[in-house]
Amino acid sequence: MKGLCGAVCAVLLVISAVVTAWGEEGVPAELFEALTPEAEAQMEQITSDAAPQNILLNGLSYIRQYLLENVFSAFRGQLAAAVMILAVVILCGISAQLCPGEQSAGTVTLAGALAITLLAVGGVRSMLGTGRETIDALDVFSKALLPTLAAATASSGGLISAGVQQVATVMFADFLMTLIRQVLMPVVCVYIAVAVAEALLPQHPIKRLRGGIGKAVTWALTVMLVLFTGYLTVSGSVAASSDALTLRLTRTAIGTAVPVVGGIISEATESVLAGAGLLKNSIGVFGMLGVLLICLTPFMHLAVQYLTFKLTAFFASLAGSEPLVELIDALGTAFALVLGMAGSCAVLLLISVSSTVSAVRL
Amino acid sequence: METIIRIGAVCVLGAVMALYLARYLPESGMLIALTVCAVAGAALLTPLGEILTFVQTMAAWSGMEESVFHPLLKTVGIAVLSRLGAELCRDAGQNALAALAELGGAVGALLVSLPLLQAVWELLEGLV
Repeated sequence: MKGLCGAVCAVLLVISAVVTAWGEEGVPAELFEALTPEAEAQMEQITSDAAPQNILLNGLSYIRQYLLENVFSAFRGQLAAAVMILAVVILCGISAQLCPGEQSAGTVTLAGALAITLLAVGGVRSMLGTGRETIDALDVFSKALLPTLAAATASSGGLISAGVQQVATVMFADFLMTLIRQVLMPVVCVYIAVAVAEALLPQHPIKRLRGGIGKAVTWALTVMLVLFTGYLTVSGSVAASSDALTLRLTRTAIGTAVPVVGGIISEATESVLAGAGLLKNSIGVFGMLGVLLICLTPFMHLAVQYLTFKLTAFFASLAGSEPLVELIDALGTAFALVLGMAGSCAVLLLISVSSTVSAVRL
Repeated sequence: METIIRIGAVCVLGAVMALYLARYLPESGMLIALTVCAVAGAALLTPLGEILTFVQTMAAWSGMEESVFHPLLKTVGIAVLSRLGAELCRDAGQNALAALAELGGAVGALLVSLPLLQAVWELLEGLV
């Protein structure tokens, strides 16, 4: 009996030490490898500089610093494209002044719309490529993060939470990313095509089609996120209560069923679960930072391009014809749609991770 | 500045002459208008050339390709010329010819913009 008690205590102590140490050392190397090369280098810089409890703050500070250092150079990179587009608009505006007839203005607007579309083609292609790459990177990272987080959640006593939340996240994330790749990205291309057609045929009521497409994409993303958040909220509270009840019953059962050392074992599980909770929080913080770092550079470039097109549309409205201004504005909105798609994938992962990390064990 | 003053003066003089001579020779108004347009157009060539050179310099600085820039300039030129021709026809009381001149300008502008249209079509085809 004494030998058995000693063996059980030793096993519990070893498990506790390993879990606590793992939590203190950090996350598994596979999660680092699942990041993009740029995000991995940034993460290594953040985690090497800071104490474990300050990693999140250090990470947010790094992100702020990165944005301050790079956003203006990103704007300068877009300046040439904006100047070219404004030059086309001004040229068309001058010719409209020289030849105020409707037919003349129509032909010049047609040529101007085609020229603006060709000038924006580089930005459009890079926008779509950046959006696809970001979503693919988030997909790869989520496939490494979510199972690891689920295992850590389960080992910290959240068996039901791990099953419910992580399964829901995997399901929603997979569906959302497939929806974006297969449906919404082609819809954005159609949106751009409709915007060009609208500029070529200003009197045609095709404007409503473009507006409808934009709204449909926004609604699809919003509905997905609302459904996911609602499901997580409802299932999370139920699962947390079930986990807490399960733990309490298990401890009571151990304390009652195992003679002599039952109480000690029941108390010792507390430290094991605390260590596992530390690990879960470390992985959760890493996961949140990982998602933010994957999205950092692409989002900055997409946001800069979006703002550049919107500012160009504003300045063009002072000198140019309405069809050209609306074309430039529509191209800016297309950037916003792609940004929204990638952003919704990131938000979905962040909500899932943060709800796992912030869950309090009763 | 001097060129603009000269052009303005010539146009006003031509209008007065056409108005005066129209009482005796109705067709002379049209001939005077054509002559003044030719003279004023020739006088405008030099300033327009300078503006064109500046615009080309700006386009080169901003990196705009010639395949985008030249069709646009040609379209603007076609619009100006067709408008001028149509107004001359209207002055002569020939509305049908004026409409034909404008149609010709539109067709010419479309022809010139065809390379742009083809490039945009290929771009959109590649995207979708």
